Amino acid sequence: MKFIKLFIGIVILFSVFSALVIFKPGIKNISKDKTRDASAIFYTDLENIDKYLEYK
Amino acid sequence: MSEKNLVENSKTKLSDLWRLEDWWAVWFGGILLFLTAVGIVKVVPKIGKWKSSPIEAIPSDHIIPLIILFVLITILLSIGIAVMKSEKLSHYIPGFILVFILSVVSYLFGNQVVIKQYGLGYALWALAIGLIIANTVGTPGWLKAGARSELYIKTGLVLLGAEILFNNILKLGAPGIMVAWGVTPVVLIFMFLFGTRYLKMASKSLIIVIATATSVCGVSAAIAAAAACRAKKEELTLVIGMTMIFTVIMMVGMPALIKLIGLDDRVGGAWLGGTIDATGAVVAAGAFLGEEAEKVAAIVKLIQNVLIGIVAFFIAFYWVSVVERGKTDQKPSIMEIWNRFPKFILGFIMASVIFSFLLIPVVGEESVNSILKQTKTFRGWFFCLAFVSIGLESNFAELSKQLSGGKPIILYLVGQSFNIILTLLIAWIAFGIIWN
Repeated sequence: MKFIKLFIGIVILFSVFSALVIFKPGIKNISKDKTRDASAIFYTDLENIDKYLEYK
Repeated sequence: MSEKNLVENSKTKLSDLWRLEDWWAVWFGGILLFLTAVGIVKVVPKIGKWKSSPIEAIPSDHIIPLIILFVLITILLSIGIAVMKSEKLSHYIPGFILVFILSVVSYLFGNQVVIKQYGLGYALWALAIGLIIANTVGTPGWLKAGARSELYIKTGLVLLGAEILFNNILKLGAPGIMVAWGVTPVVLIFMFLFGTRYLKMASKSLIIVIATATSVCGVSAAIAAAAACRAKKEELTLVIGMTMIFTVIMMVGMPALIKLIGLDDRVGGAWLGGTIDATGAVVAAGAFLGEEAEKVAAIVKLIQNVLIGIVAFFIAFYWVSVVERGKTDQKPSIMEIWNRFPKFILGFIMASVIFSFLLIPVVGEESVNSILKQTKTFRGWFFCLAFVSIGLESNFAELSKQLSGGKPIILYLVGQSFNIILTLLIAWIAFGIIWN
C-alpha cells in the first residue's frame, strides 16, 4: 500500500511537471520575448543579477 | 521529529566552537568561502539547464567535477558530524548519499528552462520529493540520519552572507533606498501586528517568517528568518510553498497591470522590485516592461536583499530577548541573550562585511563577482540538501495543522496587498515626483 502511494505521488509530481512544460500556462509571453534569455531567469534570490545586467 | 525547531539552544562554553551545529555552519561556510576566495576551488560544478532531455543538464565533462564536489562536501560534513558526535558516520554517510542524489534530481526538475521561467526552482521540487517519500513509504532511520536540514540551512546562510554586498545600496541612490528600505520595515511590522493581534495566530514564528518572506525577498529571507526565530520545519515549508506560488502569479500579473495603467517604466520597475519576492522573478517581470524597468527592478531588489542579514539579526535578538522570555517581567541578561543567540547569524554577517568592505576594496568588484559566482553554487547545493531534508522530515498532517483555518494565507494576502499599495505609492513619489 505504501509503495502504491509512493507511485501515485511520483506520478502526480511528473504530471504537474509535464503539464507546466508542455502547456506553459500564463507564460507564453515570456517565451515570445526574443530579448529574454532563459539563463537569466533564476529561481534563487541572489543570483548574479549584476552580470546579467551587464550582459543586457 | 516534526516538532523539531531549526536552531538549538544551550549555555555558552568554549567547547561550543566544536560541539554546536551553529558554529560548524560558520566553519563550513568560512572554509568554502576561503577556498574559493584564494582560488583553491576555481569552479563549483552545478546542474545545468535543459530543454528537451535532462542529459543536457549534466554533460559528460561535468560528471567527474560533480563527483569531486560530492566527495568534498561529504568529507567536510563528516568531519563536523564526527567531532560533534551527533551521529555515527556509518549511519550518516549512506543517508547523505541519498539526500545528495535527491538534490541532483531536484535540480534537474528545477533547471528545465520552462520551469525555470516560472521561477519554480529546485527548492520546490526538493521539498516535494522529500514530502512524497516521507508521507508515503515514510523516511527510514538511515535516511533521516543524512537529512541534517538545520546544518545545511545554516551553512547555506553563511555562504549567502557573502552575496549581500553593501555597495549595491549605492547603485540607485536615494530613490532606490527609499523604495527598498522605506517600505520593508513598515510591511514587516504591519504583518507581525496583523498576525498576532488581529488574526491571533498561535505561532509567532510562522507570522514572522511569512512577514519576512513577503517584505524582504522570498525564500532566502524566509530561511534566514526561520533559522533566526527557531521556526518549525513545517512552518518554513508552508511559507516557501505559499511564497513561490504567489511569486509566479505576481510575476505574470503585475507587468500586465503596469502596462494596462500605463505606469512610467522606472516607477513600474521600482514597484516590481519592491514587491515581487524572488529576484529572478523580479528580473523576468521587469523584462516585460523594457530595459530601464528591468534594471530599476533588479537593483531595487538587490538593495532590499541587503536587509536579509539585518532583519535576521533583529529577529534573533527580539526572539531571545522578548518572545522566548514569555510573560516573565525579568529582563534577560546580555549573557543569556548571547547564550541563546543563533551564532551562525554572526557568520552570515561576518561574510557580508568581509566581502563588502575587505574583499571588494582589495581585489575589486569584478574579482569578487567571479568568486561569488562559485560560492553561490555552493550555497545552492546546501539549500537544496536542506530542502530535501526538510521534506523528508515533514508530514502532511503537521503541515495542514500549520494552515490553521487559512490564517497564514490571509496574512500573506493582506500583507502582500499592503506591500503592493505602499510600494506603488513610495515608488511613484521617489521615481515619479522627487527624482523624476
